[in-house]
Amino acid sequence: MSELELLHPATYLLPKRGGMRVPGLVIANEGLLKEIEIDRPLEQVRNVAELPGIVGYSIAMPDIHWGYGFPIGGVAAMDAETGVISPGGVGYDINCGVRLALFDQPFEAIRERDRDALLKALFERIPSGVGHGHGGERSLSDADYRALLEEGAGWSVKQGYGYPEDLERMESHGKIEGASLDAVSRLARDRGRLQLGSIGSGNHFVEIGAVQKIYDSQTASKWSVFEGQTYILIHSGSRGFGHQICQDTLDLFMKKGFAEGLPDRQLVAAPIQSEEGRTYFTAMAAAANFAFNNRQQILAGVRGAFRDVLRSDPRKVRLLYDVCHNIAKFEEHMWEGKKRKLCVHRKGATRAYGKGAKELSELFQETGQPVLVPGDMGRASHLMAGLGNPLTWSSACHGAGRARSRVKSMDAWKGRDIIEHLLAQGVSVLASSKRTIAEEMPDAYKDVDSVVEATQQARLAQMVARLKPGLVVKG
Amino acid sequence: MENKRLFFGFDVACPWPERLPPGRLLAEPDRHLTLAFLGSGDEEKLSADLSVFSGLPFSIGLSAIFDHPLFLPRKSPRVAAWRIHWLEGGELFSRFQHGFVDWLRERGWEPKGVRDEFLPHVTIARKPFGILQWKEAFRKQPLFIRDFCLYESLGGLRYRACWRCPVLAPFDEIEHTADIAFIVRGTSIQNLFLHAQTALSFHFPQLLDYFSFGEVGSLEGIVEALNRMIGKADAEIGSPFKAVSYHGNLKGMEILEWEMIVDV
Repeated sequence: MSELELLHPATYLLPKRGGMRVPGLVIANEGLLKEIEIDRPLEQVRNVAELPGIVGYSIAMPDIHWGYGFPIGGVAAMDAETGVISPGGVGYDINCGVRLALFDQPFEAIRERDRDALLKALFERIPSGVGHGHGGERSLSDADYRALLEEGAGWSVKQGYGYPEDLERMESHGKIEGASLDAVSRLARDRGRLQLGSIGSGNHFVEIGAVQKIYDSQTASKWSVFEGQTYILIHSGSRGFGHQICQDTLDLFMKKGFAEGLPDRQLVAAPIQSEEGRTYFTAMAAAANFAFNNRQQILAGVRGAFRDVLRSDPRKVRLLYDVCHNIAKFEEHMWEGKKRKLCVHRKGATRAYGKGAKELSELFQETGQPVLVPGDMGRASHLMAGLGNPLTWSSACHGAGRARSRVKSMDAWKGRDIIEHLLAQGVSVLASSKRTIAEEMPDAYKDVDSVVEATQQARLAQMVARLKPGLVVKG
Repeated sequence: MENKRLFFGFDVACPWPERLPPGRLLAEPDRHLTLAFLGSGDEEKLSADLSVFSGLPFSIGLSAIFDHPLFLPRKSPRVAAWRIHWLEGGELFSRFQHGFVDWLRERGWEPKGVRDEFLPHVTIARKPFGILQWKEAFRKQPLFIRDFCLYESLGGLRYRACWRCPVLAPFDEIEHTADIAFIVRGTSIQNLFLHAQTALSFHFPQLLDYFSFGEVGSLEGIVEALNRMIGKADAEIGSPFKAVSYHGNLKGMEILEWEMIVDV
């Protein structure tokens, strides 16, 4: 940590040493650096800096923690011609992401008995937990797979899960180009067949709560976000389909010897322009499109629950935005005065395009894109607006980041009534497994407020609103 | 001399279910695998005898499955127990049990209730209990045996170990901020593979139906085989694990050790 040199507010340089091709860049403030276990993740930042074709910096977000090869909360951009693509730079849960929807009634206006009914309806409608959870009666055929991979989230909209305008409110309009089922193994297809529209286990969730505080009233107003408003936050990814695609690729890359010479074999990476590199991108895009459909169908479940319990028009649950936080994408960025085509790996990091970015819809071109930062189920989540910071390839944080291991969290809460404890804090939770709740208790996470403050201090994204959960469905 | 109720047995590690049917339940730390019941005896002599105990024929606790509920004695059950099916070392354990009984007899002890055919099991509850309820609630569980102990029965279904012969655990769960991680131990690559599967099944007992006993020859082979197992389980019943990562190296000579990280 003593090696870090302060460049700008909340922005530190990790100087080059050994085999590092570029320096590291760490987004954090002093408080976070004191709190977090930084040595192991920083070693991973250094390792990533050794990858061929890396441009600029090996970047760590303020929610960084130790991950598979790359740190979680890591960003690395590779030259699209000469660089490599690494499954460890995307993560197992390809296109794990978050979407935020808004309901135009204040949360306080929903009667307590309706809130209880809403939570129950969400739990019943949306499969959660391992595998296909308690739903999963619908199985995807290969024809379904081909269509959904080609069309992205538009496929689910065509199937009746949502509305065409939803697609305008998603990163890349809910579709990564270039996906193909031919690059996906039979086992990956089998893992995903019953899992579309399900939350999964671990840190994934659906939460409903109130917009607690507005920081940027101008942006909030443009996004029709107001204090007290009911919000819905969905966190899930590509489920077993994406996990298997990652695993298949790692197995192949290992066998091909792509890990040789790397400081950590979990960074195994193929040249982007090699057959293996292209195949991975194709399969990764397939998983990304699966994930967009997954979150679209979960949102349809949420809308159904609101309709059943509150008798509201499903369109009144309005999607604000959907972001990926485990993905590699081809993007154009300026570097050293030149426009460069880069493959930007964001693992536990969110794209944070600023005002005027061409990919964004008209509304978000005016404000910067929404950046969604889930915290923990007790304290808060945040809504931010991207500032398009070129130092991080327009990237920002993705969450609070774990501070305590699952084992420690389990031990800390053993024998205590965690449901009652959360209820006392105003949070009702339903989960397929009590163990998941214990592992995911608020004190297992860093304080998300500190993470977003550092993100704002570093000028990656601007705080717009703080969201306070009230109802949570966990896996 | 006090009239103590002494017996030999093994500590048992298992992801015990949170809920069990009604019965006089033994507390989790008190559940054990009884090997030989002594009753009361001269403790000083027993201590002297145990000081020359030559040790166990295995250095790592054996892995097994609770595969069936038992109600013992069969004619008029007083205890609800779970039967142990060894995943490794079944014959070795049986030989040790017989040899240990002989060893006690050679030293003037007469273990009670010893039968020719030893039925390894762990008592979970004493009567009153409903046999049908216990049968219906039973689900297979993984386990491994830990320290070999001389226990004293304290009454009220409580026991105290007054002597122990330690055994290494086949795995220990360790700290990992984001995922779950274990130190897995084995006497060979193949043994390490079994213990890695056992470790995973402690988090997800349904994985027992997907265990693989095929040959593996390297650490990478173990990772691939574990991931095939996770993938198959996820496709059929769902799995809380995404995958086992290509992390860590083999350490040790006689006892191999591997830090296994599992993405969840």
